[in-house]
Amino acid sequence: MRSINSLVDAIVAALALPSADQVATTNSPVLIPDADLKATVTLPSSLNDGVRNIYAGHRSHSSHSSHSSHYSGSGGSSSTPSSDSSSYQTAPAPLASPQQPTKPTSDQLRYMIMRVQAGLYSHKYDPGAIDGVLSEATKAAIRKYQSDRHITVTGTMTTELLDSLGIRAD
Amino acid sequence: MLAKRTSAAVSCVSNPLVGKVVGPRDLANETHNVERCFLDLRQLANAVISDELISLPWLGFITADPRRVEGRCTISALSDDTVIAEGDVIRIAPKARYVDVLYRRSANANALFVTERCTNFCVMCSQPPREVNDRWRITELTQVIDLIDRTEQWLGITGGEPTLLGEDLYHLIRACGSKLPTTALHVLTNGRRFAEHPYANQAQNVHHDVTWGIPLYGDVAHLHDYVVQHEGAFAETIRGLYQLARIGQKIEIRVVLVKDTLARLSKLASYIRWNFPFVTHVALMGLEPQGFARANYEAIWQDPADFASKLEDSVSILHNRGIRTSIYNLPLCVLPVSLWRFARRSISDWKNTYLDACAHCRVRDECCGFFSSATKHWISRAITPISDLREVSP
Repeated sequence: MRSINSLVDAIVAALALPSADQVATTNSPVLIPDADLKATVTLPSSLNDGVRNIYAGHRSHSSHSSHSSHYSGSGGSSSTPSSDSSSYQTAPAPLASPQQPTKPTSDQLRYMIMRVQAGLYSHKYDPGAIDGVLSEATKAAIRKYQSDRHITVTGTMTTELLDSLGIRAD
Repeated sequence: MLAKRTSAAVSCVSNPLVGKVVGPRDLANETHNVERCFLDLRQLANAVISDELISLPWLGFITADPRRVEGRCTISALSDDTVIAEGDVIRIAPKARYVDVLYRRSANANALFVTERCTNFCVMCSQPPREVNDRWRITELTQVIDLIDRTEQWLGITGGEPTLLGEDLYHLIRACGSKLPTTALHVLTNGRRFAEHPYANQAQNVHHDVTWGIPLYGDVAHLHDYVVQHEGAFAETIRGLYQLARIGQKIEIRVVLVKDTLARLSKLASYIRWNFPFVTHVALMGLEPQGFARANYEAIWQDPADFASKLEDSVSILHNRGIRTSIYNLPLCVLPVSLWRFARRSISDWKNTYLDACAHCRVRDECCGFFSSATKHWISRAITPISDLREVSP
């Protein structure tokens, strides 16, 4: 049997058929080139390309009077999701109409600010409490983050900032 | 090794809950509805936790201080804090004093466990089947799929015997395809059900990147039937292999190296080579000392040191035919150096461990190591740390 197999192997070799080595990557236990592991791809477009950032114009919380009353579960006593909770999705449902609103609802805005605050916090910046309010501490943290990353310093939720923090605005 | 369950105190839960663990990073970047997420307060300093954040309709909280979120669903007092991390999908249930991790972001392998039932009864089964009605798993797994990272590259589907789900298996696979479009699937099945022509036909186009991992333990019926403890299984599995090949499915043949299979291993390799040249992969697998394997030690164990040359023959029979061949679950030091490039780090990290002797081994990081369940008599006498790579260079 061995001799027949050796013969077949010799034929395979003579015909230069692809060996399993070429068919699939094998795991060299001794020398693993790091090159493959380090290969990364930079996508040509940014995260929020073509997305209208309805949060960019928001500058402070002073114009919103009803911040503390948005959540029907805010008593903290119910673990049942409230009925109006559908707006607390990190990605609100895409709008069917091509006509996009120019302003977020106050719930959307509050949640987006929380996400920005959480993003800043996870990058070791101090936005103050994660409370959905564009406070002085949050604006300062945004400015510091923008300055450190060499993006336009505004203290607001620019598309550049959202892209950099990996937050989708749509 | 990181366990998939940890004991914990769970409160305010009236039915089983499946949810994703969210910390600050995922709160910013991920796109899951907060109603399906557990906010991990352990990752947030007290100063940044606001009433507004807590009052969002979170499924629950993971916290060291449950008083902060009194009246809400909480998971606290974890015996091992590291078991749950951001991105994981976990399950809690009323009265259960533990948390189960159903998907772990950092794991090298995640699998959907679809049923405990099986049609085989393998002598070395590491996950002995139970005849229970566990169709609830399908409902739960449908929720789990929604919460798995969309960037996940690879997901297993296992049991038990997944084809016992019938059509539901295909529904589940389709759900994976639509929810996780870039995730490759690997289904572990004994393949017998695919002998039924109509059932096999449904596998066509069920997913764009699925591999069916099917075991074959002998080149003759009585040997395979003995290992799986079911007369007629061999014939059905062979028919199943051909049915899947007919409809162009990717197939992996898995050979667990039990003593009787080893006795005819090169014949089995030739049998695969001549009859199933279409398979994309053959895995020759060391034993996992769990379940029935432990009870059948005498019947199934052979020291890898005693079958190394047999393994070399079999690998070359397959490899030289152009069939991608791998060796699973056997540490490098028990293998001839010529086989090292076929050896994979095959053991899932939650049950993977190394011996004290491995501490100074030069190839430890390339080696599969051991199942954490391996006790002394499941470890080859040939285990020796590799201290000098020149000694083993070809």
